[in-house]
Amino acid sequence: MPYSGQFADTAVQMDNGIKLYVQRHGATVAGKKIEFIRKDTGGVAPDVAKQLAQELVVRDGVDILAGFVLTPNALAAADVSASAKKLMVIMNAATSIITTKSPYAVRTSVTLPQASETFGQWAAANGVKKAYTMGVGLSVRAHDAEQGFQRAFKDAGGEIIGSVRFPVANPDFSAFVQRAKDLNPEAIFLFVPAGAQPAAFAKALAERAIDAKKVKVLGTGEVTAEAALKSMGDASLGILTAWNCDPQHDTAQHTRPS
Amino acid sequence: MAWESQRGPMAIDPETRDVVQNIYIRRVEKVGGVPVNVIIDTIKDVKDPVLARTEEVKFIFSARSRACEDPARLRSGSPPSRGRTEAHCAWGAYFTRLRRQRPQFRDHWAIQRWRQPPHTDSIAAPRKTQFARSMKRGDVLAGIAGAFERFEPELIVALAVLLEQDMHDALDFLSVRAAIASSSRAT
Repeated sequence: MPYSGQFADTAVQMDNGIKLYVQRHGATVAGKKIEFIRKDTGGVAPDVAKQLAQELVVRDGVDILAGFVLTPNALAAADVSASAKKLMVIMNAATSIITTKSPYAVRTSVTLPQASETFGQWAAANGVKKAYTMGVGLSVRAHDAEQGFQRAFKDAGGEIIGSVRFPVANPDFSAFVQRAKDLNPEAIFLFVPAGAQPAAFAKALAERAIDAKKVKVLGTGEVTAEAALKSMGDASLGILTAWNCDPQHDTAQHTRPS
Repeated sequence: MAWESQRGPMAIDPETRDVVQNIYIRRVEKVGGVPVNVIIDTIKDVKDPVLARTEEVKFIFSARSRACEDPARLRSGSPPSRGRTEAHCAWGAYFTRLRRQRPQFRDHWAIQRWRQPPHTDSIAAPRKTQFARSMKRGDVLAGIAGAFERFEPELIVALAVLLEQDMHDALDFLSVRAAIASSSRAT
C-alpha cells in the first residue's frame, strides 16, 4: 500500500480499518494468528510493488498479499501472486482486469464499471436522455469509468452528446465546463480521481452557473468523498453519485463514530 | 461466499473472484447544516459488468457440452432435437440472450433463421472446407485473444466456430452479424 505520497490518505484509512477489525475481533482466524507486515510502495510504482511482493513471498514467507490501492502496482503484484500461487486480496484497486491477471486474486472492494455502468442504466431509467461525459486523467480508471457509463447509458436508450478527457495536471476546469454547458446536456457525468480535483471541479461548476436542478451532475463516489464534501461545501449540493459504500450508511453492522 | 457487511450484503463471485455488492445512488443534501450523501436508490447485487461479459462469452464458448447435455438451460423456446450440432446449441443460447437483451432484434429475419433445424450433413462430421483447412489454428487463437481484449462477443463466437472447423455455420454466423449491424445502423 502507498503509505507515503499523494495516495497516503487511502492507505491510512485502510490500515485503520485493519486495526479496528483486529481491535474488535482479534487477529485469529480459524485457529491461526494473522501477522501483518506492512510495505510502502510510495505511489504509482509497479517495479517497486513487484519487488516488494517478491521479497515478501521469498524472504518473509507471507501467505497472503493484500492491500493494493493503485492498479499498476496491483497488476505487477498479480504476476508474483500467479507464479508463487499465493492468495492475493485486493482491497481498493478498482480496475476490472486485475482479478483476471492471477487465478489467486480476490477483490473485496469495488470496480469502477460496477459503479459507472450501473449509474448509466439508472440515469437512463430515471429520465436522463442526453448526457455529456467528462473524464479527468488519462488513466485506465478514467477510461473504465467513462466507457462503462457511456456503454450502459447507450444500451439503455440514452444519447451521449459529447465527451472530453483531459490530463490530471490541469488545475483549471472552467473551459471544459463551459464547453459542456454550451452543448446543453441533461446530465454531466464526470470521473475525477480522489484528491484535490473534486473541490476544484465543484468550484468550476458553480462559477459557470450550472444549475444543479436543470443539469444533473453525476459522478462516481470519489467525487463526493468525505474530504471532498468538506472542501466543496454548498457547491456540492445536488450532485448524484453511485458508489458501494458510505460512512452515513445505516446498517446493522455499522456503528458510526460519534 | 457471502456475508453481511457495513456496506450491506456482499458476496464473492466464484467464477470471477470479484465482488458482488449493492451500488447506492446518492445525492448530496444538507443534513443538519452539513452536505452529506443521502442514499436515494439501491441497485442490488451488482456484478462487475466487464467480467460478466467475458464470462458470458466463455460460457458460450464452452456451452457446447453444457447446452446440449442440459436442454433446460437453453431456454430457446424450442427444445433441441437430437440432430443439432453442438455449435448450433451454443449459438441458440447466444441468440436467445441477444433476443432478450435487444428486443429490436426479436423479429429480425436473421434471428428467426436460427429456429430452423441445422444442415443435416453436419451431424456426423463437421465440414472441412478449403478455407478452414488453410486457416492456421494459431491465427484463430490470436484472433480470439484480440477479440477478448476488445470484448467483441460476436467475433469471439465466430472465431470459436472457425476453430471447430465448422466453416459453413461460421460464415452464416458472420453474415447474420453483418445483417444485425446493418439493421442497427438503419434504426
